Amino acid sequence: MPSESSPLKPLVPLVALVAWILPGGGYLLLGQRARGLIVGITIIALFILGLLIAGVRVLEVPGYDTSGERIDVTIGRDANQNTVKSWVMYASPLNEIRNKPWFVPQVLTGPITFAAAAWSVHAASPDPADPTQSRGALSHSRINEIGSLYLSVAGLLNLMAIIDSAHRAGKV
Amino acid sequence: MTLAYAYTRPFLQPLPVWNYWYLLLLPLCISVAIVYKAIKCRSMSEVPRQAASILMWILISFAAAAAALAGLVKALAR
Repeated sequence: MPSESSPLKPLVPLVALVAWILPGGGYLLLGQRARGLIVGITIIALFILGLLIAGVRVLEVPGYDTSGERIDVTIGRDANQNTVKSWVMYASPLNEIRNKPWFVPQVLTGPITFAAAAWSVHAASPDPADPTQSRGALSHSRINEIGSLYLSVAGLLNLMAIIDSAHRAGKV
Repeated sequence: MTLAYAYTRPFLQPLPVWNYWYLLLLPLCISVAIVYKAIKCRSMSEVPRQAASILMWILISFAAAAAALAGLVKALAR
């Protein structure tokens, strides 16, 4: 039974959640400020560098096509034989995520990925000044691969930090 | 013919680094080395030296793998 004088022990799931929300945040919660700052700043810098190298559109967002439109799929017919459509992320989310597998490691970087994904979808939409072009350019070949790699490695490094900070929280 | 590429919109255009893309390996390896050693080391004062050491090994391993694969390709091409 813990004594009344024992310091407040952070919950393991809370540490893991904070570590995902803010890279390095799990260590900050445990009072390991230097470790948290080094890990957090490095992971966020790597993520931002990936976006800078390949452009924000390197982030392939499940549920949206290359022109920033929602992907709808036919799920059946109604009583009047009209096709019924649904957003692919409702109809078959696993298939859609399987089509864009890089997003899985990338999302481990935290909510910053969702902000970047929203920016990517916006950048894919037509440019009001020239509707034949999108707002942002899509990178190709090696630059695209390297950008994807940067974002994915940032996510995987954060997964390592999440696991380690949660493990340390369990030992406190 | 020279292709002109005006890089004016950061994050909305890819960086014009096609000719030296292999140098982009360096920041990636540095980040992996720093984060890995920041997690692994007990004391943060050890991190710079340990990260530099593992970075060197990563780069040597990459160079060795590249040389081995280039040798294999040349041997198969004969």
